[in-house]
Amino acid sequence: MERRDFLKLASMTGLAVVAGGAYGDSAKADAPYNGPLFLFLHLGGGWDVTSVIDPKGEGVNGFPAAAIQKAGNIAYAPLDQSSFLKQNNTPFTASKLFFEKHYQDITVVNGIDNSTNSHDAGTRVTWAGNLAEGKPTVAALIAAAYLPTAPMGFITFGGYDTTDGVVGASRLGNLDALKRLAFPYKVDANSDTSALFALDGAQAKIREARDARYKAAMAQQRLPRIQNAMSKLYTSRVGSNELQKLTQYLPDKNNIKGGLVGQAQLAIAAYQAGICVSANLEFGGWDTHGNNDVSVARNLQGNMATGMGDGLLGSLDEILTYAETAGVRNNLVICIGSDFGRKAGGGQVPGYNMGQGKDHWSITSMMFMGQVGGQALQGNRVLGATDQELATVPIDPTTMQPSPSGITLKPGHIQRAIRKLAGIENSKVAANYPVDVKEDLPIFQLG
Amino acid sequence: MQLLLSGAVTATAALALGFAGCSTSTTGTGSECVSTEQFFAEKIWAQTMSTECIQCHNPNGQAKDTPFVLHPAAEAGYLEANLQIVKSLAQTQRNGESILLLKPTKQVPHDGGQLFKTGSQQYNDFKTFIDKANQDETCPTNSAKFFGGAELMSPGETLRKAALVLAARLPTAEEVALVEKGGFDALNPLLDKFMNEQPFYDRVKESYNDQFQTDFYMQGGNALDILPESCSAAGADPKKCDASSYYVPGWFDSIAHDDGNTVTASQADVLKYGAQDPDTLRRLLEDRTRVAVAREPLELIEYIVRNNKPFSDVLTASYTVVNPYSAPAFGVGDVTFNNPVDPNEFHETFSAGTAPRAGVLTMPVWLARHPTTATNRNRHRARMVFFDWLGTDILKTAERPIDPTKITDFNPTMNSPQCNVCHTNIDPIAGLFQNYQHEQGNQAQYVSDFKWYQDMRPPGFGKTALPADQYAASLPWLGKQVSSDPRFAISVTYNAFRMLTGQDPMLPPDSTSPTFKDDFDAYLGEYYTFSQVAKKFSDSKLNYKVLVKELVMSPYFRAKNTATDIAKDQLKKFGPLGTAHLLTPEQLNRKVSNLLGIDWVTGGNNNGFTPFLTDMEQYRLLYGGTDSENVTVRIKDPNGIMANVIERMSNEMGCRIVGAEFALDKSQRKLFTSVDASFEPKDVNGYDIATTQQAIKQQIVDIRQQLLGEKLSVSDPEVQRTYDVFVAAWQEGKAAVAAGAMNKVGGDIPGFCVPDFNYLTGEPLKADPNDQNKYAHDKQYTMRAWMAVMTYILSDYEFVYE
Repeated sequence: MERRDFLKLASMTGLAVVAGGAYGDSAKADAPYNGPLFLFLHLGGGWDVTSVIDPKGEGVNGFPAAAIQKAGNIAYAPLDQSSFLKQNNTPFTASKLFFEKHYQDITVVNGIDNSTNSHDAGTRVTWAGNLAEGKPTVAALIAAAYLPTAPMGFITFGGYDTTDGVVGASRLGNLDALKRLAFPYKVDANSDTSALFALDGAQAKIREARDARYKAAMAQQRLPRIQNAMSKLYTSRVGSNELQKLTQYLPDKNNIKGGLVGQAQLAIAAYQAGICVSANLEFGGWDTHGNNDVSVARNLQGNMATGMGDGLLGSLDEILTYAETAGVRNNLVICIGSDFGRKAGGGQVPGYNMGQGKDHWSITSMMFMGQVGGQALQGNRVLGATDQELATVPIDPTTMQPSPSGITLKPGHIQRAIRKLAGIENSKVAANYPVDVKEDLPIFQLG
Repeated sequence: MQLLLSGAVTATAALALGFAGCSTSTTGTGSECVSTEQFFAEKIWAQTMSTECIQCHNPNGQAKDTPFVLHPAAEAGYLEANLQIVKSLAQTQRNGESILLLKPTKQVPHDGGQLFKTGSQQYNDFKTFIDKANQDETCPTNSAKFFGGAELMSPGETLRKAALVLAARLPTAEEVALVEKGGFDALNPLLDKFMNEQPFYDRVKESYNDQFQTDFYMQGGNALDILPESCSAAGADPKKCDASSYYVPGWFDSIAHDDGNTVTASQADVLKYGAQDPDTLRRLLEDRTRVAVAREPLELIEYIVRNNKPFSDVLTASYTVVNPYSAPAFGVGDVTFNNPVDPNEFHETFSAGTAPRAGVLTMPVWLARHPTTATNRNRHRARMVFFDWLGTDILKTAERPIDPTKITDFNPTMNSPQCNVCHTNIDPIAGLFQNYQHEQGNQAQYVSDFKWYQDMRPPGFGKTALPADQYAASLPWLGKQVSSDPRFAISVTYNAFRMLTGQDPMLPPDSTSPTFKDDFDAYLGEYYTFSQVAKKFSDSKLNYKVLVKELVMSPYFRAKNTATDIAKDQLKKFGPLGTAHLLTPEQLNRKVSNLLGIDWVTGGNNNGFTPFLTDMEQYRLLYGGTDSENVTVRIKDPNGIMANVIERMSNEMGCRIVGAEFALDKSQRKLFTSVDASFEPKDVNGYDIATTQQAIKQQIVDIRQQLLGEKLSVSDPEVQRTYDVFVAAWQEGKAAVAAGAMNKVGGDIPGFCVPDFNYLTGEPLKADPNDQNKYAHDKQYTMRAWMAVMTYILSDYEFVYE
């Protein structure tokens, strides 16, 4: 059954379905999706924002304040000047190259008060805007509002991927395996003329029998848990044929990269196939209790000694290039966040612990870039602020610049802004998960 | 064991169930005799204490220094612990009146103000509670109240489900007959039997790996890199080895020596281990050693469960278990193996090194998987002790927002209320891991005389400090403390519940939620069931199998529906009731393999390939599984990709089983015992053939019963639906063949479904010199029609869920 037929049937018959169909905005749900692909990149472990986009200098960092660099309005950490990198003769060039190239597309938000030092809770509050357990990640909300029954509406490679049942979370992997799954009735998934396990009419009869069986079983079953499970299986099958479209857009397997870039390539292919709205990407290694600066530099630059490297920054650059080539950069939003920030003391160098690392700190930063329908998110902007101790500074809700009588920037504000950018702020699914802050902040400005 | 009857739990049945004391009905109302613990939970905790008292009376609240400090809901068994505290308070009087009434009514000074007035409903409830607290208990807790109106499985149904979930197989005809005759009494020993079969131990190990994630070291990581190499090991690097270690991770080098260019080994050893040459011998030895070392914690658990040892051994055992590969790696030389090359032969040994052992807590892979750093100071390990063995996510106690600007104290983890909410609990246990530090990058190196940090709380457990004479053996001391704590039995119950039902225990509901009352009732049903199960587990000297049996017999495993007249209010309490577990990739793999007799794997059975569903490169991760490295959380609800994994499996396995079965005589088959390939539903003129139609329908009834556990009559609508699939596939195929659409249809079944061997005996099939494709032919298209039927059945909810 195709998705539209399914939804029509569901509305006509009052069929009980759990994922998406029960929540999706009827005006939007499962119409062809023309909005942007949302990539939510989680930096697992809690990143030291002072070593990237909220640098402070001596007392906090291993480099002097005077060495802090700026690309346009965006200040970034000169890790190459860190005494820890110098001790190890570690070259570092990635930040300068990345920010100089992309600053006009980047929005930095500093001073977000995650209100927790717990990895789990921090990850949750960053992406769900709520410290409580079980709330869906914003990626799931967006997918649920637009493509609730698509086979890959929401793809996850990690991070916070709780969905609370609003939409299924899909993983991707081996391309050959995916191809076999895209054509489950073909004996040889790579052959256009492959024999079939069952001919088209038999396949249709099997689906018809399943539909009838589902309805009969649901009419007799009253235990909510079992009803729920039957519904989820039924809903997961709706539109599963659309997986075939994915194979048209997947790059040749030899051209799929590892790590972050590969994750994005697969998500972009699913988006191009019209079956994906959002994806969680994951890049770990930020829990830098020891050797903070060297570890952060390695995370940012990867293993390459020069250039932008193959770490976070080089990967982001490559993803943008790939998106351009694939023709989707004009409809792609990338949100980057982490569990929380880092701060320490007590070590031989001020701002560091005895292991030259940094410990958990609830104030953090996020970074955004992208375009919606060809309109760029205004970049070259730094919103929110922290003081020299990395405490959050109250901000004016209209300018997002420091103001003594202002408000404290919370993950809920980011959540509101992302929902608004995605156009789901008034959807049924979003309404089921209200955000506990009231102000709409001008985090995203188009054009 | 408490045995529950089949059918809906009603007032009468509730008494028979052993949920004695109160009657229940399908409406779930009518309780008159309420136990003190139930009254406390429903009237005192839920109505007042969870929302008001605990705001101050918590371990870090304003009233933390009073005698009245409540346990947070994040703690396993918190209701029981709080009941004891409140009971004690209820019995404390001032001027003849309980302090429990005087304080909240502010008849005596109360910093929290007046919470309710004299004569109010809350006042009356508190008064009733005080009366109950001062009397002997007369009403046992009425768990049945929470399950009134639930329809439970019959003995036969429970047998089938237990056989599948525990032993990954169907019950034998003999077992079915025993239960048909003897009911639940006959089921009891059969559960023991299922729990003595290998799939049960595999499942237990999977469930604990979901907690430990130590399988990482046999896949992405290398367990052998964790063991600090003894300097006395042959060829040990004097710069890297550890003089105090007894580990010899590269022991196999003496059998298959690698000089960097060439591997040399004696032909006798190559033959002994069944290798092809010295290279493959070395790989085999290294692989088996890596797996055995990586799985040390899981193998210990299997050993404990298999031998009915107290489950507390998991934290207290001064022994470990070794096989012929891990024994030399652990420096154990005094174990004699019956088969010195068998990786599945494990023996207990006390002679693995000199460091004091404490079950999994001192195992290298467990320590390495929960690493410490110079600043973490074993806190991560302490957190995992809480989570794995005390049923408590300690970080939940810190989920209230923290304000970093208020953390201005010197040494915040000791002195700041923002921090010590967790650290008060975590740091003493972290101190008990003092003998395992991050020495030279090695997480598993034992240090007997480490001086614990003076700026942290001293090592201990709760309010008990580590005795001075235990400093060199603080983890064995911790193991004893934890395993004798009531929360230990509950935490093991939690894990077994996850294993059996695929669901997490309910979290205490949010007291501000509009559905709190119903949610709390649902939660209490589970809470009391777990408490009772955990108590029986404890009373059995922590025999894990007793625990599993109790859960199998509980409504959470056996509920299959409700009474038709179930009241809506009662239904709201049934949230977690009944298992609807989408099988994990590992479970589905076992089920396919055991029920069909054919593995879902490239090239068929016994070819050395990893089955699709357990292969990381194939469907394991796509089907929601984990790799214990990057993906550590299972997907429990199906998505579009998982739906297509099911579709692919049902197509491929439907094809294979039909090919394999029809290659045998009818008398030899397992499934298709009523039909042959010649059985067509209509003749060449399109007229019905009543006898074959009847046989096909009967065959459908039998297969559905065997694979899905359904007992249907031939006239059942579901049998007709299945039959319609058969006829549709048959008619379409015959028409396509007649029309010459040979590319997709042809006269044969797909090549990879054509068997070479009798799949039941492994013997080669009889060849026909005149027809090399004898077993491929399907001229009447009936085999492929049966394949369509099998696709339908193998992809059914009842097959992929348990």
